[in-house]
Amino acid sequence: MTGLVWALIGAAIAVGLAGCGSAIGVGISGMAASGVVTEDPGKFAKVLVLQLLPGTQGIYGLLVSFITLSKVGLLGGGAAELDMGTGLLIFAACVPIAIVGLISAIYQGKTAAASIQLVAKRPEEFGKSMLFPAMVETYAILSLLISILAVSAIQI
Amino acid sequence: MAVMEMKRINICAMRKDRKALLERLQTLGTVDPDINLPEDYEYDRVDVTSSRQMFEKQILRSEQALDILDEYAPVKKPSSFAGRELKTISDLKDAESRRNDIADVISSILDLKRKIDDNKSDIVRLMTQEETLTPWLSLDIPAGLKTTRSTAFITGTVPATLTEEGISACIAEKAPGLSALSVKTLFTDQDYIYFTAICLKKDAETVESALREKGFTRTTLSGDKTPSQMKEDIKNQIAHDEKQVLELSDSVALYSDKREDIMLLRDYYAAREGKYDLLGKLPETENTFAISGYVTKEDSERTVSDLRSHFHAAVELEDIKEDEQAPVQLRNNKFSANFEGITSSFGLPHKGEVDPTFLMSFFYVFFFGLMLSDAAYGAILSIATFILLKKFPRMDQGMKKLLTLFFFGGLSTLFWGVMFGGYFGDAFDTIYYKLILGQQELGAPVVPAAWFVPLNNPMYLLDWCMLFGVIHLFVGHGIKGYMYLKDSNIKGFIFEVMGWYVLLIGLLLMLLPSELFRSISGLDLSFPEALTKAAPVLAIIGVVMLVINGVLTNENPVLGAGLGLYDVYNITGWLSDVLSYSRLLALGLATGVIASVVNMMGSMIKGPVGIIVFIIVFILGHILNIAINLLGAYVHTCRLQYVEFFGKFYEGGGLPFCPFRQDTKYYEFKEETN
Repeated sequence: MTGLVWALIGAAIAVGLAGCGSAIGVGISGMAASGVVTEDPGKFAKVLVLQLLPGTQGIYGLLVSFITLSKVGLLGGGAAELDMGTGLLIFAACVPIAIVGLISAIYQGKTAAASIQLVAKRPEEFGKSMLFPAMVETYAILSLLISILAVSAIQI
Repeated sequence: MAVMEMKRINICAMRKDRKALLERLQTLGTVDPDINLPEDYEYDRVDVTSSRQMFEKQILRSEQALDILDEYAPVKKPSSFAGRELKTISDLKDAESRRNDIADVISSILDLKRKIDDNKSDIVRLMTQEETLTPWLSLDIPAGLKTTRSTAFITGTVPATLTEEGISACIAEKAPGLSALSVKTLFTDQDYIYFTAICLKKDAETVESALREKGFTRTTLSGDKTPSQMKEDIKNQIAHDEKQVLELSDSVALYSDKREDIMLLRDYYAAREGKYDLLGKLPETENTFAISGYVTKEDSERTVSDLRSHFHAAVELEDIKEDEQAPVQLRNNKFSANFEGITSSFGLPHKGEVDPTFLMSFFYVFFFGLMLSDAAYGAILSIATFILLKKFPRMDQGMKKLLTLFFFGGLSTLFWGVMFGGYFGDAFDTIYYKLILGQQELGAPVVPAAWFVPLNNPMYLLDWCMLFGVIHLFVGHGIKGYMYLKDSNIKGFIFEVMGWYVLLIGLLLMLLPSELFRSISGLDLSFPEALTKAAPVLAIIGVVMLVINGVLTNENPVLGAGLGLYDVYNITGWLSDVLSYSRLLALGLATGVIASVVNMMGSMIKGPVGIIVFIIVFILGHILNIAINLLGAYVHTCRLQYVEFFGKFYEGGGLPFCPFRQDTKYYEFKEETN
């Protein structure tokens, strides 16, 4: 059973840490967004889009977590018997998205806040302003990819 | 698929015609004025500052009046997709002739609003007054009454540190031997005691000075009414003011039908402001004036003949000079034109650069669909944008292009959804196996994927994504070669562009059959032996070509060879660019998995209630998923174009072509077509 515990901890940190990162990131960008809307409510839609950008890491975390849970059979149906080694493997597979998700979402939030300032001053540069936060997200995507590939490669 | 060719147009005409001519240009909307005179050139210009200020004030007043009308006579706002309504020039002339009447209406509206505001602030003032009366309400004599025939009233407050007895005691101490004194507390709060003291007239001064030492303040109330009567009066006044506000609001609402006039007037002044803005920049002499600007070659003849037929004007066209940066207007086919916004938000092509929109548009749609990859989402996206586009034919051009882009993106999403078997994720399976059959587990897919299910074999899709990436990058690199050829930079084309192709193809041929690649991708590719042997040779030839390129492009051959060798280090750049396409897989999986999570959450409860829960969770969950993934697909497809694709060949930095036209907000004025 210990293996299952490790797998579950992995799923938990994937969704938990990445989710925390997104919460912090969206929080940071949300503060900047509300500031802009105070001055100009017409920019609501644009800054909302920018605010949402750091929200994706939480979703990536959810994704890995979900794949992990369905892999070990915790979703509907009996849980698989895992030995300690397999459990740790699954745990390790969840680590990339957990850590990179946490940190990249925070920095993406800061970049999004800066982009919101950009849009406040130059609304016509909305296209470019979306790109800067998207650059940060690249690394979350890379770690998501490794987490998915690793989880689905582990044999149970 | 190109940048439109520009011409310079020079116009010289009679000064008396200048306003009419500018109006004509505004209506034509084909000329981007560009007036640059030598700095030391002495010429006259009209001073338009005061007129422009007047127009700005009128625009501001019109907008204020419209805001007021929206507040007091709300109408259903036209959808933000609706765009500007079409009007004719004669409507504009009509508004011009009635501009004073409309301005009067605006004044009345602003006036009424001011009265409403006055009344409202009066109400606030009265309510504060009413508040200050509260402590005195139990005083049943006129508040300003100070004396009767032989007695005096001392009404006021002392700090709440004293009590009623305290007040009497302190008076008794300071003024002993008073023949009569009565102290009555009216009200006590945490700061003050409100009271009235009655004594004989002759003692009044002594008593008051005794109280003053304890911090006594006389009440500010005056008049011959009791506080409760005063309160009654205030209440009546408030009621009166409130009635006034209602009446005035109704009068504002009566102007509701003037809304359109005010909007016309606002746009009329906006158009005039634009005209005067340009007017102020034009050089003129006593009898003539001149204007110069850019016009697209396509519109040039039409513009020239139109101006010549309407005015006595000298109009000439000129080719753009070698060193001149003309503004850029893109022109693409009906499909690719919708992606011009994506190109221009990166930057328009600078002089001599190709417009990448045409090639980019196909990759854009392809990648967009691959990232969203759900047939139902794609269908919803296409249908929704299609309806919007049909419903609002006069939509703003930029919005129209964006929605059309999403329409095509939706079709591509539909295609990839069918390929990967995603219809609201695994909704068909969930409904069939869990809700209809009541099983715990899902069985074989109801609608199998036309190609394969990415989640079951992510590595396989990753291989394909990398392949798409390599194609995308190679095309981008090819455009660079095309531009070298266009500039007749043959050496650059052969040694740099072809050098990279040879090197990269060589490396790919070495990598693909290798054990390393096989173990990562699970693909077993075996090439003929000749090809395997040729691969390292190709790579080395590529390196040599790049080194030669370094030598050719540098004055110092040794340094050049070094730089050329260093250029080979850019292989890591290519590697990271290709890896970047893994986002196609990651975002595609994200859509599918979240959709499955939504379906699973919805199907957790059994029985009839479960169906209702399923429907609610299904609708909300999938709306959220579409919104999030649509944003992701849009942003990341842009990124692949901007960073990976454009990074290979495109710089941008051109200025947009902004023809002089009516910069209106509510209406677009066109000439009547008879």
